[in-house]
Amino acid sequence: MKILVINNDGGGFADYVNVADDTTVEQLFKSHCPSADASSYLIRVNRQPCASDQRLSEGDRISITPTKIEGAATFRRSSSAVRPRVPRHYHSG
Amino acid sequence: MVSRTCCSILAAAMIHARLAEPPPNAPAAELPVAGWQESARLIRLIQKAQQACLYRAERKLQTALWSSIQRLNLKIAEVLRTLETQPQNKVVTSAQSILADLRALETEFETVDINVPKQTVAVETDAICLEGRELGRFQIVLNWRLLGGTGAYKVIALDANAAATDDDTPHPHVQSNSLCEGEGRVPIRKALADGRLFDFFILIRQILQTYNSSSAYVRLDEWDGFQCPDCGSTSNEDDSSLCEGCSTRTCCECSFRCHDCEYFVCSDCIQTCTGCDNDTCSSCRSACAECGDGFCGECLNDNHCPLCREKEEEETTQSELTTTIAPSVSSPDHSIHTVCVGETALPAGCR
Repeated sequence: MKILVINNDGGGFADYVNVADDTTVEQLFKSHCPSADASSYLIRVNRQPCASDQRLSEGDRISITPTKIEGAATFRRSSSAVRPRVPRHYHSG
Repeated sequence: MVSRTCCSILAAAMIHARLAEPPPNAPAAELPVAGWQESARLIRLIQKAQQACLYRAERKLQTALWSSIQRLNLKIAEVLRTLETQPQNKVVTSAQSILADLRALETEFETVDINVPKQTVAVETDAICLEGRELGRFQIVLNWRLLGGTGAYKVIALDANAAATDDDTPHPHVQSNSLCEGEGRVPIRKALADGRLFDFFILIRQILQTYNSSSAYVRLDEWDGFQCPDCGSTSNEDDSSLCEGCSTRTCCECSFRCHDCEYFVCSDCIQTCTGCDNDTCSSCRSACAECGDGFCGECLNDNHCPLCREKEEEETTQSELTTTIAPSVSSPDHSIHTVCVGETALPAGCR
């Protein structure tokens, strides 16, 4: 059967994939993210929270989103943190 | 309820129409050739300065090069952004899917507001607490009229708990209602481009619930302001300086420039040279071998300060003088006797 898998980790790509009938959410997650811990992700089936043993159906939409996504600062405003450091021997002259 | 459903349907149709619009002609990417040439020129000048042993000039050029490459980096990032926003085989999400997204938002967020006249969808997060610090609730407002461009959404703090040093920073990764997406940048762009609004709002919420101390506008441990360890005043980190000697961060008032190496150091690492009264850091200062006082490199000669050298010279001169006049020093008794010649005491009967 064909389902839509949206992986919001990294690239955030949405792809249709073929899976075997009666595939559970846990099995699909392990096949897509073999080294990842499921507890670090929000997994939604058809935009709803789901159980790990929930069986997927044809046309389901499953989204995988990390619970922790690190934001950043566009610029670091502390001048001393970014000031170029000149080797000390240059000052000896 | 009916009006809410109508709003959702109308919004879904409008968002779908907005996404289906042909994109405006994307501006052609332009490489920062001038910036590259400027950096190359500075590198050549640095090499020349190195060959000529012009250390001070080299240092200035190094700083200029650093700034030039920073600007170049920003321009390249701008080109990348331009390229990323250009459509590539775009498939428009159906209005039905957008409607399902809008409805599903209500299961994830307590407050969802769809404003058709303003063309916005807004959700409210729960109160966010990072590392024990309460930052309050945030509103994420998406303006679908601006989809495909920059500034399509805003993150607004609902409970005022901004950083003490910056009123515009209510969250370590939010400044002036703008979220710095960090790792979430690509999936957010993709979700917006695909019209996956549900994923978009979830991604923003997850970023708000995550703290990245290494790249924050204001770090949480400095949220209440930076306190100078020397004078105790609270100030902005921008107005602080890192001591080159002991890495202590002090306010600018408590930071001193070494006369010799020109580095900025804290009050513990600076001392006035006893010889010339210039401020000198501990690295450039040495103790006089004789008196033990601290002196800058210029004032010390052979590990001796000017005063001790002078004293030493005086002592040497004195000792040399003593050695020279030593033979005549043995005659004073004779001279006294000479003076007394003819004045010898005689008995009274001799008259």
